[in-house]
Amino acid sequence: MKPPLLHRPLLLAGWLLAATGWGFAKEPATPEDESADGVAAAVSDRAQDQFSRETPEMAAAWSSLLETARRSTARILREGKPIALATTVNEKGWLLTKSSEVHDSKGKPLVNLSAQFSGGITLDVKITDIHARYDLALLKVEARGLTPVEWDTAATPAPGSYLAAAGPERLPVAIGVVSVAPRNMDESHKGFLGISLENEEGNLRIREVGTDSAASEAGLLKDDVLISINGQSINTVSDFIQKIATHKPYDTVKVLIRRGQEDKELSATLRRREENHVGLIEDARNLMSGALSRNRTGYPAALQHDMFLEPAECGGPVIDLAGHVVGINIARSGRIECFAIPSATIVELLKKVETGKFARPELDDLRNEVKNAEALLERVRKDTDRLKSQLKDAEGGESP
Amino acid sequence: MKSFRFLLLGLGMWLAAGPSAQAEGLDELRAREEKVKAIVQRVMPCVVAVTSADEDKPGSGSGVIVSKDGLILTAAHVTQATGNNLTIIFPDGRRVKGTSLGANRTTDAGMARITEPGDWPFVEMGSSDLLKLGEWVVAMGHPGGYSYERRPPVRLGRVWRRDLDGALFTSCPLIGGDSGGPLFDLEGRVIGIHSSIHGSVEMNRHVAIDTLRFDWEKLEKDQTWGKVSFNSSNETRPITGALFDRESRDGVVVKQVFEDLPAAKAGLKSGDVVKKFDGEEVANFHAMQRLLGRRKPGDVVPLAVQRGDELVDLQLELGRRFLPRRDGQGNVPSDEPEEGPSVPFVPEAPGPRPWLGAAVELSADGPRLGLLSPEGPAAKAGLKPGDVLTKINGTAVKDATEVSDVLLALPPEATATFELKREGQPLSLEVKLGKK
Repeated sequence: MKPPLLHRPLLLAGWLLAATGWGFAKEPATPEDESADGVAAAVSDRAQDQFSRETPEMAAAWSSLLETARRSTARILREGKPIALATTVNEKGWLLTKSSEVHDSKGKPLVNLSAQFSGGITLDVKITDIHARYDLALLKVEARGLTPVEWDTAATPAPGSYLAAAGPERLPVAIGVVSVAPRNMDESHKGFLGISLENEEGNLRIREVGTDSAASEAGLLKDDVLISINGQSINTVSDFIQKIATHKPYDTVKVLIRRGQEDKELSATLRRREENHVGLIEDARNLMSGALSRNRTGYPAALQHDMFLEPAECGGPVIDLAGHVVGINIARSGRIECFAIPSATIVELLKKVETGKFARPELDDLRNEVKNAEALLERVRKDTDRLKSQLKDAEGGESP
Repeated sequence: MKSFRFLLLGLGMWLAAGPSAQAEGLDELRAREEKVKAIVQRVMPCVVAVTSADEDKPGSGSGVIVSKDGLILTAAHVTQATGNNLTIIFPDGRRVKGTSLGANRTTDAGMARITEPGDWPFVEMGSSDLLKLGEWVVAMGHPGGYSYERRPPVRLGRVWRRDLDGALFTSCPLIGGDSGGPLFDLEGRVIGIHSSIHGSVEMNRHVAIDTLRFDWEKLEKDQTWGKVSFNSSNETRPITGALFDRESRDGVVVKQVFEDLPAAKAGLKSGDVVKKFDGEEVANFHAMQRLLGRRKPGDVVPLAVQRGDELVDLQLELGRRFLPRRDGQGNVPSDEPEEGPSVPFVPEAPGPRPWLGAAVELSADGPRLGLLSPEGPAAKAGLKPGDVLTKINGTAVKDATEVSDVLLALPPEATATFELKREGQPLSLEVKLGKK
């Protein structure tokens, strides 16, 4: 449970909530007078705490369900500072955590990591493997007899079901409900340019260019008017979205724009969505609601929930009201959303855990395909040799 | 730290309305979960995305269908104006044509209609006036715009605040695209429409359904009016000078009437029940507030009041809201630009008034001191957080309102005798008040 935020700023600004930003308005507001007619009340923080959605009573009720899971949860420390939670997955000292929280922004592993368990024991941690698509890291501590988490691979909590995040302590880290059933968010096959557009009297004007995006690299500027992509004219915002989605990351596209009176053709190398640091309005609205995880989207299977979770609280088990472990928290993604990787997916990834590596059935499949292709090639080569020698024999018989 | 200061400037009152924290065992959580899961399934098909069909027109948000023939409630800033062509998208991806009806930009209530023939799935509307603070509610919508890849995300939270126009503040987190989407009670009835967010994740504002109902005919008749504002307690809003019971039904019970103010001058007495306000029957406090919001200071409104067995007619001349902390020229000091009314009620003209420098909370034992201003009069006099006040200058004080009443009757910088209990032991202290 987080401490009550007594010093939370009162209504500093109101933000209307249209999705596109076009209908977007911002206006300073003054604190309101809650009571009748101006009898004062310096208040609302108190009301907010009193009617919080995570009351001490609720937290206490959850604690009986978390008793097992919390023994399988560790807090990852770096120089004594908590940076993530981790889940014990094997009694021989294997733990799972959120990879980007134990790496720096360039992907370099952080050093001097330790895991603090519920009994207070702290052990040094080594990273043995990462799984980029799920943003998971496999960790090793030198210990035996740890309590591994019990996955419930059959659990499919419906939207509206209560969930809690376990930490090493008795009380839950956060409480929320399932917002959306597990889905594939992997957009790694889609190319992104990193702009937002607005339709201004039939012209598609660039409203924003992501600060470090494919668009900014190509030299696109705010207020440029988009005319065509690869020679095909773009007339509406949805034209643009559909057209760009047909390209893969790292494809290069020709973007024709009008800047002032001048037409310009620029060449843009598309990126994956997560490689565009867009920093658009939506991000600003999300960010004012607290820190977000650096890596926060694109998981091939993830359940969405509404806990108020900190980025450093990801990596631990998620429990339902039956006390079952339904997944691992993987990201604080926005004001309204967190994601958890479902237990069934995790169990597949952990099939070879004692080798210190994630199971990658998709790699095995590819390897098999390569092997098959090589075998085919070998057969064709042999056939070719055989035919060649037949031809040679036949030619030899023909000669005088 | 600004809001911290804000909290300390006045005599804060912990307005404990509705149920306090109740026992929340696993059984309660499971029972609530069953309700939420059931309503989510039932109402999901009625939660639509509302987008402009004309690419050059702004607006994209959510809405909820409330009639078989396709009437949609949404936010004013989603539809923007009357007669815009809309595309309505159902959670399963089906798209139909629609048009925008009226919009009240001040409350942010809007209406739209599906223009294609058909029998549409719809939800019932509930009542926001009868909601208690602390009630559990469910928010749905299409955050970030419609997505084929996910159904409208479910969020569960509580109503923790209501402003004077009845707007609801909940801990159901919202984001862009949710605007116009529905807030449901645990029976699955619409009680609010998502409007705006204000800082922390728990500050999410929704138009109250009864506020929208108040404008129903105008909205249905395509009227568009008002201007964007998030603050209902603005300077032009009139005051009555009385405290009312927010929980009362079949009329509004007067809890307290302040001396020299409009209600007292009109002859209103505590214990009276206001049955009619400005010629219209009032069922509860919020209904009366909506009628009050149509008036301006100086207007005279008729009241019909039940006093014992008698029905009394009164004429109430509405007053002007006091604007705090202005200097002699009527300017707000520049170092405190946006803190607004943060001091207890003070009659009419601005000017210095007594200052305690402590937040007074409600507790089971009586008015209890919370945070103290570090260099404030209360702290200097030796008062401590947790002290429970019993008497000031011999007058018994039972709650925070009474504390502010007694103190504000004193001149600034007066010295008052505070009788209190500290850890159960009686204690008496002289407090030299400050001024603000």
